[in-house]
Amino acid sequence: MNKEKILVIDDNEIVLQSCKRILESKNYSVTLCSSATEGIKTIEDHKFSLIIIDIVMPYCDGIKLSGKIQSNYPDSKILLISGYMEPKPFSEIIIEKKTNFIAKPFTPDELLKAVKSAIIRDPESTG
Amino acid sequence: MNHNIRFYLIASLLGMTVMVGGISLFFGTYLINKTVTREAKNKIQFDLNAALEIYSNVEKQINSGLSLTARDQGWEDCINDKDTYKMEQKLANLIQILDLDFSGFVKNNYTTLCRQSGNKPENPDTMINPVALLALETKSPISGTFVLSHDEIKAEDPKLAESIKITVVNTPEEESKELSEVTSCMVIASAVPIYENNLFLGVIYGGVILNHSIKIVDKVRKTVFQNEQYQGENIGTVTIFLKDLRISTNVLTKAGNRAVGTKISKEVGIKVLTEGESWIDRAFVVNNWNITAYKPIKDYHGDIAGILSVGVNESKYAEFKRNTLLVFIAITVAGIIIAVLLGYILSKLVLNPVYELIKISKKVSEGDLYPVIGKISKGEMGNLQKTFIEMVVSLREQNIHQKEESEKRLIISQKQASVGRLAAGVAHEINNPLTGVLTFTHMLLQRDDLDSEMKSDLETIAKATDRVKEIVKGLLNFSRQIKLKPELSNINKIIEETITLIENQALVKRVFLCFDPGSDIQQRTLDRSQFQSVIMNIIINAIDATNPGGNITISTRCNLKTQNGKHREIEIIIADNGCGISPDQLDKMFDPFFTTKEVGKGTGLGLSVSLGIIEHHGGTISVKSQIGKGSTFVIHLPLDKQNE
Repeated sequence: MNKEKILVIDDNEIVLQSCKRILESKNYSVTLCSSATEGIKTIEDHKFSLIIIDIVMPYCDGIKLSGKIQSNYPDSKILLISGYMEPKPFSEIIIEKKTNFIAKPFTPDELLKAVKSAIIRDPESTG
Repeated sequence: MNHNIRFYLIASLLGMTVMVGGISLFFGTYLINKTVTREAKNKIQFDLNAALEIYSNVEKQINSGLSLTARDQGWEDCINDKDTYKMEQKLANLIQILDLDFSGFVKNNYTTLCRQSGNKPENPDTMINPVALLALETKSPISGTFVLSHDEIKAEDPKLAESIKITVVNTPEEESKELSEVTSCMVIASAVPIYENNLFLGVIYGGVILNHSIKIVDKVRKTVFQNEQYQGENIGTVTIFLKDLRISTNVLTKAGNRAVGTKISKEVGIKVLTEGESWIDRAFVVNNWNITAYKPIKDYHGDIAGILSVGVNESKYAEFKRNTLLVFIAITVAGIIIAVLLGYILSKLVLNPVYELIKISKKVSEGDLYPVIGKISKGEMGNLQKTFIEMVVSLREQNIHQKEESEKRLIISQKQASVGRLAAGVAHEINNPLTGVLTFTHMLLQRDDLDSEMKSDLETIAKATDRVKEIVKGLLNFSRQIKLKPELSNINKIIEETITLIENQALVKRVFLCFDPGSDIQQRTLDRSQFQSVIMNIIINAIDATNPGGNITISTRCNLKTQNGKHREIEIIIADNGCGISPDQLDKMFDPFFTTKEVGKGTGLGLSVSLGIIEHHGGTISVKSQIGKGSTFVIHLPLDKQNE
């Protein structure tokens, strides 16, 4: 089976470890980055099926980061996560950029479901 | 407006004075004119009567003089002796006493035996004096005014006949006419019969010539007018006319000669000569206007022979009238001056407290709610001052109330924002570890090698974690409820409203707020209340940092931001010229709980919360400051996508 490669960018170690544990249990290949700069470097060298990004991070927030990634790699698929439960202040951006979102805290099932649908989702054809 | 009250006061006083002065001037002049004219007419009539009396006295004098001479003894001897020398002496005596111009004796056989001139008639039978002839025929005394022909005078004395000629001065209308000469003569004459021993002997006669005579007219002037002079000229004049011609007068021509030979004015001539009536009125005499009286002189036969007239130069009365007028004008002018002065003093008295109040009102409007009112006047002005004080007091109370209200509102808004920010921060922080707990609990639960006790414990953890998740969700929902009420808003309008809310607070400190709204500011969705609390927070900080007399300038404008493509943003600049912020404080300004104010005066959450609110609207706050020169806060708010 061809392993789907997933990159997780979050400044919180517990969240990173949680994601790794859940996704690896379903045979995804998981790479972890604790900052936006590290994430961008990793994307340059590897191709990922999905990039999970935390919205609230120091220096460069998730919205900005996903904007950058999408402008450089238009094919890339992104799943945003945030502790603000609902991405109300950012909803406009998320809807406009057709980005997926899941609120923290999430159960393993919730994350897997969101990851699956994000990978399947074709950014050009779905709204 | 102040100027107007003073103006109206003075103007109305002035108007009154001018009106009263004008009316009294008008009626006074009218009355004086009327009275003076009436008095002048009365006087001139009186003068005329006096003149007539003098005129008839001349006649009486001649008559009585002749009568006395007629009674002398010796007339018969003279006639019988044909002693003309003695007769002539008697006549010469008579002439000297009576100042006669001619005289003579006619015998009862109609022969003139003797003439004053000594001129013996060549044909004594035909050349008898007409006055003497009348006496001869009636054998009784005759006296009166007579008009004698040139020949009749020539018969008396050829030299005399030459002197009575009068050259007529033509009136301007008759200028083209040839000069004419009047040779007839007006005389006052008398003839008295002489009886001796009841025998009628003849008559003696005598008379004075009026042509060119100055005796009577000057005597009348001397008696009636007492030679009163005005500006070097005699005021009163007397004239005797033969028909319409001046034959004896002291009216002078422009050249200074007696105006003998000039004519009477036409209308007076018609009235007096044709209708035989008196004239008492103004009349033009030779070259100026006089108050005059004319009366016809009838000759012995009862025909109108001429006129006796007196006149007074009008300029005497004119001067009196002018003087009176001047007095009236002087009184009016004095009244005007007094009215202006009075108006000025009155207006000053009335308006000074008003000016004072206006000055104080200005202070109050500039925010000084504790003005010094000074002495309270009596009456209405005092009431006004008292009411004004009451107004200021209630304004003060209202101001305090308003200030409290706006502060309360700000505190509530800040509290809400603080709670929201705190809740959001807490939720975010808790959600991260919660993700770990949930993940690992569920991962453990998926294992097959768990005994039932472990499984039930893990399920309890999962449930409890779910519960925590719900609590945090609730907390976030709560904060979100208060946090955002976004609506399409006009930023300039919100800033204006905010300034209105704290304007009084600024004025009390004598800090001036100035708003310069940009014209191209588009509407943007934002939370009005939160945004207002940010603006208010920054302005209040600025007021606190600014000394009295300082300025706070708030301005808005629209910028085109080129970074990351084209974005438009609204820039709100709040600049003060206050004390400024030191660089080390500048770094900590937006930290929560940072404050420069005394304990209890500020919460310290203000700027941190403000930053949070602006950031939630996608904007930024920056600050620049220089110690002693002031601080400038700049808020950047990106415009909504839909607005671009």
